[in-house]
Amino acid sequence: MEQLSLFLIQSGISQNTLYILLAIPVVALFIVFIRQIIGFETFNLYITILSILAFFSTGLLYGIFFVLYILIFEIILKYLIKNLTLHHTAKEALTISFISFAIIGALYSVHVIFNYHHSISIYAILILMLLGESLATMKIKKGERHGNYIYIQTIIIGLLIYMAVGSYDFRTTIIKYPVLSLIAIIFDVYVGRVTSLRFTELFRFRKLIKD
Amino acid sequence: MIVISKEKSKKLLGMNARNLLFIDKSATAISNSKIKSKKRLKDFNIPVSKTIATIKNLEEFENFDFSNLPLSFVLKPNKGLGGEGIIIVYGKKKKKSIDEEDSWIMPNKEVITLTKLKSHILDILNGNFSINSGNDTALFEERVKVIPLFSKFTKQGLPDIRIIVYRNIPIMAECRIPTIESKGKANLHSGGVGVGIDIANGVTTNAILKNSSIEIHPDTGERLSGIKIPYWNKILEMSILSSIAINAKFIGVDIAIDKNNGPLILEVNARPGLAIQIANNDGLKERLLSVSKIKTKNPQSSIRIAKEIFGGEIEEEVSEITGKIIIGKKVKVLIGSMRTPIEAKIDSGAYRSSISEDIAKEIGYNNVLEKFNKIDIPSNLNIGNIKIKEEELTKRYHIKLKSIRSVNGFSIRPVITASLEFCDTDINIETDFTIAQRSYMRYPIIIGRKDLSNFLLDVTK
Repeated sequence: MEQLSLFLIQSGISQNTLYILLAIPVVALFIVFIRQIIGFETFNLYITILSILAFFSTGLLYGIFFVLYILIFEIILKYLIKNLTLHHTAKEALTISFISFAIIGALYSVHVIFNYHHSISIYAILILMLLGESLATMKIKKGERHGNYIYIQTIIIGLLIYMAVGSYDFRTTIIKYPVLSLIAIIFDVYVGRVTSLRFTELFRFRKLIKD
Repeated sequence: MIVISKEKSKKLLGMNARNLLFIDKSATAISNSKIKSKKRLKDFNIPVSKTIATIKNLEEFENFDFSNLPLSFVLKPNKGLGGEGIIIVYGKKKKKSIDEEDSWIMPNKEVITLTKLKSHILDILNGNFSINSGNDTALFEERVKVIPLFSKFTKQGLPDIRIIVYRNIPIMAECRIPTIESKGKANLHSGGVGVGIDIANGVTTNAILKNSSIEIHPDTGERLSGIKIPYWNKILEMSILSSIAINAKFIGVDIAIDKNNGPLILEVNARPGLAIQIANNDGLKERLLSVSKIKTKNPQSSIRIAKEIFGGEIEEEVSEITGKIIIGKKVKVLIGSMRTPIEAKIDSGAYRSSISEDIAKEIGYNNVLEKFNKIDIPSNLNIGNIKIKEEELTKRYHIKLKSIRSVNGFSIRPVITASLEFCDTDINIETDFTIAQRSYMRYPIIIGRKDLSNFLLDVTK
């Protein structure tokens, strides 16, 4: 099995890219498991996976910093532009523009004030902005409180998965045994057919199932 | 620590089972669009909330005459989800000057100006509130007028009744009442109150607010249990017809009751929420599975089945199976021209019903009594001669008489024919009453077994 990974790396695929691509099926399975079996709500699968990838670039601490920063900024901004009579897309444009400016400020403070010297990839930042956009959409569809709730859950789950998947042990394991990604697919089908109550539902319906 | 009962948890329907086993994809396509589903329901002659106008695109938006809108209306996104994007207005706000723009009053006495209303419509057209984020249509509907029974429970918004129908059989029902917090919306996740309803009789059981039990409405303090939902059978029938019209296997039907027009369908939902189980203190899955093999002939048989299987109280089930109503030893009745009900004693030992002389006078049979009092009733009545005497006297005095045998011996008493209505039931019959002597009666009215053929007697009641 290791040969396959070696062969791919020797053919020019960077080890990091291969690792991320092989990790995606496993990460996806984690998310499916968390949503279907445990019952936490997250944004859609793509955004959740992307947010995990963003943490690879920012690191845990600054990841949390940026996420909270965008959340708070989004809430304030929404409050400010709520009463402007503008088309929705124009409001979105305003939001994303202000978040851009705000992130410049945030990056400045990260680099200069906190003295952080690794460069944070622009893609990571764009992903986090996308997360902010998803938050705004979710709020319109499911209401203010529920939107914030799903955002926080997505982030916490993203961080937990990042900590598991980003570890050195996992990294070497997945490169060593790429077959794990295939096994993940089989489990996707299995979890996808589950019809039992989710763990969160056991809590939600606790009054009805108390012995 | 919660100890989970496996048996009980098997009864519950969770998201996983709902999504995989029960949601009907063909019904989803219709129920996602309010316009489509309303049209379908209308084709089946099911009453729906009236559409005032629609705005499908920017062109229609530009040409729309906002001055033609009625004083009160509801603005909805056609493909809206969970009540988001709905605006209810109760009336137009008086203008302080001619230049001031039109504005309307919303729940919580908030005001919405024409500019804001237009901007909201653009948001709807843009698909911001719709299930799939494509473009959407804005829908103006007539505002349903709340019936007095409901308006005492809620200060704003429209309470509605959600019925889950599976294989054309009503499975579980819930009344959803808005709160100030829910901003007039009846949806439970917006902060509305959910109250379980006993399918058998349409009476509310226990109530929940955000998944925890409550006794009274948070805004008005009114008790939420024991409300009898009016038009209950009609509501059940409409839910079944809607499920047939949409051709859905599994569907949630939302019904409102209008002050003037009675029950009407607000919308149908192919992905109904699961909190209804908490409000009813019972699991949906078990109920769904219990009818999974039943085929129904028509709405009436569906209603009968639903009431028999899911009716909360055994009493109701007995009534449904036997067609008889259970009564206790005492019952309230109205006789003849009586205006206020009087408590009567049930006496299965007596064959005929009887009333006191006072009651006879009250309902206008004074003349019968006077006539009777003039008759000289023989005192030597016995089993051998009583029937002959009865016939003889009846013929001679042109008055209806009956012979009576009681612990006090034999007697002959006058008989009148009058209507007998059992309060709290639909039973109203025409029957004979003997007018009893006052001294014999502890109760002014006694109902005998001749008039009890529609009832089962429960002596413990």
